[in-house]
Amino acid sequence: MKKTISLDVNGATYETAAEPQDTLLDVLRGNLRLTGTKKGCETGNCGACTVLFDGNAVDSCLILALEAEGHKIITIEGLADASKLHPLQQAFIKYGAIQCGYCTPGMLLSAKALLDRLPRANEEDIRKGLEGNLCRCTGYKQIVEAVEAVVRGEFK
Amino acid sequence: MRITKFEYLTPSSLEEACLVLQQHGSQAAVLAGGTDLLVKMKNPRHSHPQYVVSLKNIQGLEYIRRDKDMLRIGALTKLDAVANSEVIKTAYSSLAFAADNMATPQIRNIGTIAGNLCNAARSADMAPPLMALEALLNIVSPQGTRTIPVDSFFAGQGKNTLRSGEIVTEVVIPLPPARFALWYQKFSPRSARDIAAVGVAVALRLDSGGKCEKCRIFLGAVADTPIRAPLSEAVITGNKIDEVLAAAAGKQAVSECRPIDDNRATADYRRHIVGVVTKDAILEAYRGVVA
Amino acid sequence: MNKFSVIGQSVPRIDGWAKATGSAMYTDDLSLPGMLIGKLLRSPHAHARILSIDVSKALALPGVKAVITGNDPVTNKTTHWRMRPQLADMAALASDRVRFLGEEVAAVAAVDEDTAIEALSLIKVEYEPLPGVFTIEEAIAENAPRVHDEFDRNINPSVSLPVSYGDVEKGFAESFHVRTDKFSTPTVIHAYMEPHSALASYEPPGKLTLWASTATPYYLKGDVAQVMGLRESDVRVIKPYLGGNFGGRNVPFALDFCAGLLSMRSGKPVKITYDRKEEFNAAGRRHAARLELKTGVSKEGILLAKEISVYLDGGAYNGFGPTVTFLSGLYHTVVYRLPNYKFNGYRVYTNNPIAIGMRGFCGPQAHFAAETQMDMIAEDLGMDPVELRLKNVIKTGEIVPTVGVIKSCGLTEALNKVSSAVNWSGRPKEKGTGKGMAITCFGQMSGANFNFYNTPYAYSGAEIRAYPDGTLTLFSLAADVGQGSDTLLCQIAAEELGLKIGDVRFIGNDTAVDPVDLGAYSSRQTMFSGNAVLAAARDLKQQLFEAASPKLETSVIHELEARDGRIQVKGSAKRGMTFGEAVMCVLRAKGGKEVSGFGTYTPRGKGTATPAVGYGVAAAEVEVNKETGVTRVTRFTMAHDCGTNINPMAVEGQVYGSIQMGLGYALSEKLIIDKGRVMNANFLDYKMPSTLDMPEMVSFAIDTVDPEGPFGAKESGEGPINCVAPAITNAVYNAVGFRVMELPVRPDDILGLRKDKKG
Repeated sequence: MKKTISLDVNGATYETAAEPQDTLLDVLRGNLRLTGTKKGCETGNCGACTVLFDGNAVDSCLILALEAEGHKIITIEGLADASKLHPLQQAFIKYGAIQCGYCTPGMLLSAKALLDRLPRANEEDIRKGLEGNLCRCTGYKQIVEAVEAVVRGEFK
Repeated sequence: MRITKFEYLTPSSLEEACLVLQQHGSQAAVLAGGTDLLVKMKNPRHSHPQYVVSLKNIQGLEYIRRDKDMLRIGALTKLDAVANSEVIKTAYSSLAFAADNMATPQIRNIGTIAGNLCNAARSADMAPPLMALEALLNIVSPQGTRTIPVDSFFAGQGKNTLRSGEIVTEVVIPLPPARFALWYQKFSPRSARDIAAVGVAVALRLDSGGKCEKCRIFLGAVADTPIRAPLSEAVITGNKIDEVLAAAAGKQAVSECRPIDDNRATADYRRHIVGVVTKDAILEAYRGVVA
Repeated sequence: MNKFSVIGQSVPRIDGWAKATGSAMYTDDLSLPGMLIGKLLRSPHAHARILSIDVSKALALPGVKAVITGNDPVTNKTTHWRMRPQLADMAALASDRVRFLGEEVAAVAAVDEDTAIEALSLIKVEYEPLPGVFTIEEAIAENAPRVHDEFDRNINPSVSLPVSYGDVEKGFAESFHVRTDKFSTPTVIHAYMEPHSALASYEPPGKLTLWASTATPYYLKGDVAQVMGLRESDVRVIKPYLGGNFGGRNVPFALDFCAGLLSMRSGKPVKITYDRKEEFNAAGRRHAARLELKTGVSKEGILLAKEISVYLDGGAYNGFGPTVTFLSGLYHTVVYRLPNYKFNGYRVYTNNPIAIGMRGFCGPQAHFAAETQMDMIAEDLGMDPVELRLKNVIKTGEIVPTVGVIKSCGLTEALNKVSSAVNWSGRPKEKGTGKGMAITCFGQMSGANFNFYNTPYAYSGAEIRAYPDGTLTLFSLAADVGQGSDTLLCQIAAEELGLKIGDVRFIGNDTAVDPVDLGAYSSRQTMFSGNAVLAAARDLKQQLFEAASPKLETSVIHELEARDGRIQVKGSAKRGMTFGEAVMCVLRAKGGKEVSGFGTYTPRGKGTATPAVGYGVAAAEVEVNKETGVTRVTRFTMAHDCGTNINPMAVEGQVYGSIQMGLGYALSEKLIIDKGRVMNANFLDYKMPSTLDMPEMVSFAIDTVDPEGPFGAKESGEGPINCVAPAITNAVYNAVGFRVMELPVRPDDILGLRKDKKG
């Protein structure tokens, strides 16, 4: 049975109807058409569906949509300002941290959660902070370098 | 990979939650973080609850505080909070470390300390260190409250000793006495995000002469439940700890574990690793006291 | 100094913004009005006869709009090997028999996913289970159960390819030392992050549009048309953004066909997306291999003869199997000079899911065996393994019978570069310290020459339209699967026409719009598609020169150039006009007809295999924990000869990604299959490396210029993975004395804890 819920996503409030068995990922992608959040494994092992949940990185495939009411959710669509890309987005593009791009939204949000907590994260912190995001293309090196560049303040 | 249909219940008090659970018995499951429950509910080979009892409307179950000589951790406290709590780090840095080295950041931000215990995986990373620390669980039910040691909470792979209508509300850990340290060492062939192939927790208290006065050793992932290694403890207790003694205790632990072959490691390899990791954990715990 | 302006620059990807903001649409992100969700019913048996299928209850479920089975009238079979129609065994759904656990037997389309899943549970299939074969050894045993009735011992003779040159017997007779070794490699999966998805929209009376996560839209169009009984160009395939390939999307799977058939049946658009479990159970995988290498060398370490026998676990059907089989031998001929060569390759049917090409197209298997054995030979001869390699590596200008003239080869330079970077000569020589280092070589084709699809088209085609505002649109069906080919092709067009990367718009991925290109496999996009783009740019440039010449009052002696956004007399920027003005000249001269250049590339007369070979050398440094047996790679160094390095940042990305995938192949990745059932069908238990598993990585470019490549460029997407695993496992040997003959190497192997294994 569908229930009407109210979700706070990227600073806007959405009223939508969800089944109890719908995950937050299902509702973001299906109901809200915020398809930047990717479906990779659906069991919390790949991180492609990472969103920020009250500022923390979480796997949206492991949260029921009905449990997400009352929390502030940020998806990849909410990372950039209207006028310009977030420094992490700029760095990912400039440093070759993107290949197929499927892990990128989740990777960026994990990186944001990390830097919000540890603005001076070193390489080890970055690797640990991105541990929950699998990438099959890059070997992670250029991703880590991009985050390091943001830590250095190379992008505003 | 859809979750099978269920009825979603959101009691607004613990009393109500317990009643609902009692009413539906084995048809109901508690939803805390959900990182284990939802994965099971997406797998058609698992049996699925018809009622999911969400605790999201129940306030006051998410806290870490020091209360006299006890550490009190609310059942819904996130693993990430355990990992980063200054209170926990000060008392038992190894417990924080254990939380910080399980699963992934995303899962630590959702999963809860009580959820990790209630899920009752043989490899649950929170169990061996809490057992070694003689931690207790406070449990409520329509019949009232009870307190049980964590080391009598596990009843088999995926099974705990909760009765119908019961909910874990709090984990209580005694604060460390003098000359005491805990060490939890997890081993998995890949990085920490993996499920432990072997986990060993050692809690040590030394006497004023530097000998081991008391020792509790628990092994994770090498039997149906996390288990105690009393013979290994006996090797240590009353003695001065060094490499040779630690190795002997490790060897003893090998005889006490009952590992299985699975996709993560063979039983033979797990037995070998129990010896290595137990030895290392004893030495680390010892260093923790003398440091 | 770089003589180019765009080539050789680390140009950021042209799709970077779309991918970084989440606005890039992948197939499953698409939605059409009235769209239905499709789901596939999969066999619970690895091998069984289908006695009956009853779909009536499923059809009666409210919300179900169509149900199809393999017995529906319009379901032909197809093959990538069109020149051998007898190999056609790709079908939408099984009809009379299932040959692997998870094979598709029926498909439903319903108003939502939950209804579709419920409908699947209402389909009744009666099976008669049959005995199966699950390993190469079981499959080739005398009287083994047959996966396909016509093939004894499960070997299809037309997929088994003997190749030889010289006289190996003579070579062995002349050898000072001959050794024979057996190697074994596991089944692993591509594990691209985006699961397969297909969205089909059928419009009566006969047009189908299919959005699909494919790396070969042209093949898919033909395959889907064949299966659905449509004319080839009634099918329009569009490839949205693609979340990784690694060879896993070069053949169609059931969803590609079933989405079309269900749309045809229901009159609605239908989308089918695999979940990760379906990816593990029923999509492609790399062939498990058993390899036997007999190699003879002279006293000085010169390779004299090599005889290779390879058995590959092909799974239940052909897929890209014949090509993989052929290539499993080829790698042995392109890295080291080899006067006598004999290869026998057998691809064996088993009741496992289909094996296809995966990054390296059998290169990782072949190189693991070859590079391990090279180190063993060096030890036998008491020779430095790098010295042994230096004596034998191919050099530019040499002729390899299976390929032709090797027009560029940087192996010697790469060996020297890597040896000095890791201080090879200064390494600790004693074994058993727990620390070890090893150096290995690779070769990889830059695109496949054989026309197995029997296409009448050029292998790659491109069109470039130019506009008076000085911009271009580049049309190509080359498939950017994540490797960055769109960006690279834009670089080639911009370079040749003297423009900036930002002046080029890429319009690709649509079979109804773009000139044919065979797509992304065999590392062919740079060499083949790049050459087509270059030809199109030259065609366009010629038109611009012809129209601009009279205006610039050139004499017959003058040469024009396209440079810095201008068409001008070479060396005289003043005598010129802007690029846009030149386009306007052509436009006016042609009465307003679009200004457009066309180009194609087909490797005619470039040998039987490939027009060029990419090369490289790797060094692995490892630490093996002697108590736990766990291997940690501490540093991995790679020098890569990809010809002219068109985009260094993109090439480095390919190298690092290859190291990651090769590291998993060496140490942790393996599908655990029990009687056809995958036991570790998730990313927790299928252990691909995470951020914490990766070593420090160093990448060097070796400068060569291949005369065949666009601006001298060769492949970079696959080669580097080939020699990663043997570099790591040879380093393990040097660290602890355990010789790895079977991948992946397990800690308990190293500790000697597996009774059935010996080092």
